[in-house]
Amino acid sequence: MTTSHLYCIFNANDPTPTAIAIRSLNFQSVTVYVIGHDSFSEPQRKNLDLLKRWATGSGKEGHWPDGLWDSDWDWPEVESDVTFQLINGIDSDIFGEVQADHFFFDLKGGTKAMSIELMDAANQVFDSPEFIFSNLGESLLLSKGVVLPRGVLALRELTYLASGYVMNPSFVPLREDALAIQTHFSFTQETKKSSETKEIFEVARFSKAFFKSIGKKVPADKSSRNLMEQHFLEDFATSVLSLSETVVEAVGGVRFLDPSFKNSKGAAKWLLGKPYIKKKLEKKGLHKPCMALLTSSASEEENEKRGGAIGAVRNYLHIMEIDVLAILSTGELIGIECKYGRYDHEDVHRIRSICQRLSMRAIPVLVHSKLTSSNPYGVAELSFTEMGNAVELIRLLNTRTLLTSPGIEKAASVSPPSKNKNKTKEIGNEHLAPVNKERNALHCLPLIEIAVVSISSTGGNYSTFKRGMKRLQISMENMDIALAELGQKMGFKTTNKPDTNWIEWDVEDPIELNSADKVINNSESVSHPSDGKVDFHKAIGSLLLLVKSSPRSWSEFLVELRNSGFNVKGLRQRIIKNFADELKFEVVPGDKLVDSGDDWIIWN
Amino acid sequence: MTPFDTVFSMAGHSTVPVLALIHSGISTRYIIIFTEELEQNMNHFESYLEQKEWGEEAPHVKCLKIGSIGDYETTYAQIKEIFDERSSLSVYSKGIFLQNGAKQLLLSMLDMAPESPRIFLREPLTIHCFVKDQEYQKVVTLDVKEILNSRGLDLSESDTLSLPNGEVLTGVRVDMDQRNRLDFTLTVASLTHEDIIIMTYLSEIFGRNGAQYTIIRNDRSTRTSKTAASHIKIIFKEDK
Repeated sequence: MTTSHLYCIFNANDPTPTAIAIRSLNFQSVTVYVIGHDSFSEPQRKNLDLLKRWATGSGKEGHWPDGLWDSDWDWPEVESDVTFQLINGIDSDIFGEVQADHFFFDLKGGTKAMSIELMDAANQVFDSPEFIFSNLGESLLLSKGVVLPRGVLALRELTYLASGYVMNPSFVPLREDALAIQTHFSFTQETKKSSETKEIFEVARFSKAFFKSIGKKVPADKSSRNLMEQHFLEDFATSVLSLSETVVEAVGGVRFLDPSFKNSKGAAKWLLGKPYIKKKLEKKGLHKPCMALLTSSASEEENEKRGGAIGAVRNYLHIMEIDVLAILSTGELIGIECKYGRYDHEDVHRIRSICQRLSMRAIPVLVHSKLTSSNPYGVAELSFTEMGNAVELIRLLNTRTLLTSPGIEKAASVSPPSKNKNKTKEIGNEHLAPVNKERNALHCLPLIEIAVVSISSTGGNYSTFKRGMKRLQISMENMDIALAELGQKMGFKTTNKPDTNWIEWDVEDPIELNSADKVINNSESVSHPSDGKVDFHKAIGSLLLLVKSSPRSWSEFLVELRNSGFNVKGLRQRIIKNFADELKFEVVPGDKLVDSGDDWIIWN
Repeated sequence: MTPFDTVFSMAGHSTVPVLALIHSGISTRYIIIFTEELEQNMNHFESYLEQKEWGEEAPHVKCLKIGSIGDYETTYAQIKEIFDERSSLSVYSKGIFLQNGAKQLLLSMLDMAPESPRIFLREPLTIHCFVKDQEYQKVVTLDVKEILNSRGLDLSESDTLSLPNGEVLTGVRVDMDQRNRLDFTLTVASLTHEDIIIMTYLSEIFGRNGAQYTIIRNDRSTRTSKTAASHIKIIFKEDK
């Protein structure tokens, strides 16, 4: 068996890339160069401590009362022999006498200048050093131009490295249960009337038939049922998300603990002092044992005598929590806040800030019970009825936010003179063709917001607004819902008047969902196919039709699908198999796809 | 001083490094390689090059598009092709500008031509060239208008900023900071989402780190400012 050794640079501002490098290729030994340690800032020193602890397989810091730390909060220890070497600069003397058959150099961590210095030094000392660049989910072999797919770090490892918190999930979905939930999912639509504004609006509710088919008991009284459904929404979102092709792991009811008992103890004492928690634990005779556990250093045997105190205390040690957390194959995290009833912009901002605290790679999402998904605050707000396509929809909504910035929107349609293009595009010779298709109003809220402000401030009427939307290629189909969303956020409502008074500003009581509002109509149960494959099929189908009317290159076609979050592996074969007969076309051989420009598809 | 025949560079989100490079006079030819994600910005850059009046010695600047940043195998092959086509040039007459672009692509370029001279940009705007054991330096001067034009924007005498789409922004002050980066400042009485979208748009054009983005607001409400990304600074300043 041959042995391999990895040299890499500690990435001081984010230890995750270094951890990914260490785990990437089963190295027997690893040297991590920590450059300029003496001038590290406090956060950079903390990041180094995080990486060292991560390598041991546990974030546990200092003394914890016996039995209180749960081994489920740990992760597998790094098997490679890792050495951290503090150096002030890189030269050919830093490598030392390491015995191995192969030497790898991961260049992801550190600044560009550091990586170049490491590359130069390695070239001076080693024969054919292998330079790699480990990203989340893949390692690039820089000397060969090849990508090797790799496993990503586990969710608990990534959250620890990014935030320093240890993860304690309360719900991990079983695949068969998740499949049952996805298969049997159905919902009803209810028309509600706001007690405050008297506005009528529609919301979705889990159907009784759905609960029955998955064996979940539905409480008879309304408030208990609402409570159960609110709680179930978290399990539902976690389960359905866990089935997505791009999701590696999804957990629910996630609590984040400070791995130092000294800090966690403070959080627990504060929570145990809350009257409703205190009362709940006192009923079970657990409040005193819990407090004792936090204040004494009892032995394991004594702790066992305290019955469920350890289990109970573990539920209150956290600093913050999140309803659903998932990791994608790209290494991105998705953090979800679930709201079955009323919510407002503060809830949206809260999940955004929790995700920011958690990781720079965390995407915030709010899942609600409205019938449509939108993105008015730059955070995807998803209807739970659309959870089956959650990842694709989140990407779509977030992409639209960028695309609908005022200048970007129009710049996309600016085409430089063709003479210019021909002169400069030696490779590929491709350009984006304008997409002549109206967009869903709900995906263009920032643009509509600007239009509302500018048209209403200049005295424009509703017709002016409609003309503006047409010019911006935004469909009027969901415009009433879009305007209601924006009205809620900006404080206006539409009046149906054709003149300049079509908008009424300073509406004091924004329209919000309220689970206590009166249900005035229950519609029929609506079954919902939650299978992402159906929509992938649809997406390719409609994109192919778009290619027919507005030709584009294979690369552009791939980019459009990738940007929508779809896996494009084996795409040519899939297109031929599923669409060639139906839409009557042929596709050039695989090795000609890129070179054929817009002619990669031949319509018969 | 033109020590190089050709300099290869990746384009990045910030326009200043490439702009400084082609104004440095260190080479007669520049090959600017860009991934398809940067196509829009590069279209403006090419239009700028067409209109640019260089005087006597205009450099030859060629912009070449490669695949997506996420498709490493394709972009690697395309860069290799670009290098192979110029393999007849002597090693020391081909420089690699290492300031701009994705790290994995820059390092791949370096791995393909490890002996090639390296070129860096030091702040404020000095081009450093390392050829064998020698080092050259060239200080470059750029003005605000030049940088704006390279991304399709124009600043009129009345301080209105024309965007590439033809829209006009008023009230946005554009300066150069100490690091010779553009500094956009918008002063508003009451902060609206539109103000944040304007700054977000500008940062899409010039890169999060390629310029400074500041909104000075006179109202104390923090509600709207929560939607701004962290690279957009929002400062409260009482109106006197």
